[in-house]
Amino acid sequence: MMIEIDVNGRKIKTQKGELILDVLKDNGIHVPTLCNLEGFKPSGACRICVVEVEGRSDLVPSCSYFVEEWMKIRTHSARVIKARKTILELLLSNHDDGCLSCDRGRWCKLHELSFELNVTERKYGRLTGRKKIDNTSQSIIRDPAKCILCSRCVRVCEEMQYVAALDFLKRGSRTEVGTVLDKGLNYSSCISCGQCIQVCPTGALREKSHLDQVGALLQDKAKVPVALIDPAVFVTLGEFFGYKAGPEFSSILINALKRIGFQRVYGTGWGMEFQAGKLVEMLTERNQEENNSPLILSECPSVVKYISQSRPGLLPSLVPLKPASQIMAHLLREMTSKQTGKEVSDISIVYLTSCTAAKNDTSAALKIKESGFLPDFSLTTREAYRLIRLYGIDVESLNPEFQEDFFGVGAKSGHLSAISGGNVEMLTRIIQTRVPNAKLNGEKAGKLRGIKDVKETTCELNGKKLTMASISSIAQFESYLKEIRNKQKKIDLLEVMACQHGCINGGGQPCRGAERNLRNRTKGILEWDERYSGIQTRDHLDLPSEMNLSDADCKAVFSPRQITK
Amino acid sequence: MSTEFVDLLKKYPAGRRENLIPILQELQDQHGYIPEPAVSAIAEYLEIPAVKIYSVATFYNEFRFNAGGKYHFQVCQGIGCQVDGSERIRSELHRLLEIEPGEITADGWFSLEWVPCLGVCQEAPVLSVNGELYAKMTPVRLKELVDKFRNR
Repeated sequence: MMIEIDVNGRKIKTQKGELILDVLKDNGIHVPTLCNLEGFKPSGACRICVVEVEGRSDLVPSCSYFVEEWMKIRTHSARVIKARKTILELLLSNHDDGCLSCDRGRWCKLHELSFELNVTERKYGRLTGRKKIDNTSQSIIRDPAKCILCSRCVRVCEEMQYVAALDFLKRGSRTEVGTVLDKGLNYSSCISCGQCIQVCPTGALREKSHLDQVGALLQDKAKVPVALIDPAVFVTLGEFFGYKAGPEFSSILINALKRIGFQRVYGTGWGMEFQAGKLVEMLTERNQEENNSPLILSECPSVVKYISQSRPGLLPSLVPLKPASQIMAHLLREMTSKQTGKEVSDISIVYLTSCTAAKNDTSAALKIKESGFLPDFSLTTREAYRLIRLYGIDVESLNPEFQEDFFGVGAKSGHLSAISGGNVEMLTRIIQTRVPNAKLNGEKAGKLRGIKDVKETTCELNGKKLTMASISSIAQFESYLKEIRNKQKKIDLLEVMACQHGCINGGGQPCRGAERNLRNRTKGILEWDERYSGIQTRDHLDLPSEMNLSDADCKAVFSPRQITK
Repeated sequence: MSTEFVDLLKKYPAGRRENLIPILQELQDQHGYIPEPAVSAIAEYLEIPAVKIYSVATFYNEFRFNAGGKYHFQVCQGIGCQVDGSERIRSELHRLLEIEPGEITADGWFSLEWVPCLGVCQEAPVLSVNGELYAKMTPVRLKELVDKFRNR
């Protein structure tokens, strides 16, 4: 029902049943928020979004109140502004003041609000001392002293990721966000997806940094540093420098990293395609009649962690292949070692990725000397930006550059793996070009694109129907598994990505602006894909003749992981 | 599931989260505290995330995760008791037992905890030992009480 309300003396037409905050946002009125999380139920925890409603003695939180036709709302009256300012001052009284050395830097929402609401001093004394930092996890660090109890991480972890590693503990002034039995993230059900970092308004959550180690590596004359870059980083990193998401910045990034001291810079695209080829072989050989449970792609480390911790029953369904980053790390070590004459152990692979969970699978995190297939270090997109800044590289003065050798030649479809649905699309292309008599459902293949939660496609392989589906976020995964069970659906391959919309929304991506930039990043990946591949893929993907990689090398073994559940 | 808690859990229907607090209470009655492995067992049985159970259990002061002493002193911190001099009771307990709240005496006999209102303000100041209430406490009566436990 259409109604008309009065906002700051202006008449605004709106629907009944809309939240005040949404109406204000649609009409270009900015009300600050801290705990509000788009797509989630409002929690009303922080009260910073309060507005004055005529006829009510108290201020109401606009995020959790519906509009009514009698409402006369004032969003920036003296009373409202004073209340917001006091709320912020009280939050700051209980907030760690190490802002100068805070990882969040100028992306801190609290800092931004202080500026916006003209808070220029610490009005109320500091309430709490330092709290214990949780650094048990190899990927995510929690600093409770910086937490403002907005519950965004708690809600994302439980409602979107079904993981529920975090929740509120204790009560009243002692309330804190913590893990089960206070044992730290490493012993909780955390899957290291990093979505909590993405939604945290302050610096209470951050990735475990490998920057110092990478800095030391770049200075070490005995080592050969090689950079391996995820497609998501290629299209996103430019955002920091004001570039549009897409192919434009990717070739500049290669040049920037070479200036910093990386001797070789590669994308993971080739590995993705190689691995997908192996998977297609596996699918053609697989007897579909016998296997009713779908194969689940093991590319996403968070999904593998989730399954091995919380759903060990699905372990046999995981595709027994190493992730492309590991296959690439191994091949690059071998190749660089042959070309430079250095020992394999002297070649260090730095994996630039949008994934925080990738940090778990590095030799630095596992504290092992022999890296084998693992990258040595892993940097998130944010860290990669800081690395470029640290070395004083002026990206605008750089020319685009390409790595003109075997693995450097742009992969045909590998880049697609950064978006949800991309892996399946890559597989359909490979099936189309390499498998004789394969029939593709052309109409449905197009449905793999776009920001949607569940995407399904079918194709015909050796006369049998092959159904593939792609899903992002663990909540979707769980509900889809239920759907398969209930409706007796037959799905052969399931691409699951822990982060909604895929790696382009990974935990290591820029903390702010994801909602604005997600479409651009997806478009960037597709544009890049079109520029370098058309819609074809190679007939064969062979290794250079002097290298070998047996099937046993590519095989991965998954085992259950014990946690405090 | 750990078999240790099966008998207790089986008394309640599986997958029904409203039984969480009764289960926690019964566990605490049985063990004197909530054993850590029980958290996983309850989580599995009631089908709720383990951290939720820990969240609820830490919300209420009633629940503990470490074993107390043989005699667990809970001294009321409520406003009624404050007015009637619970501060003297607390400092006397400190002096007698030589421990801080949350600690256990070296012999394992006594442990100490400050709790919010115990709900018997008319009898202030009160304390409870292993769930048994002792009303209208004075430092002299407190010393007698501690001595009585020591000589048992």
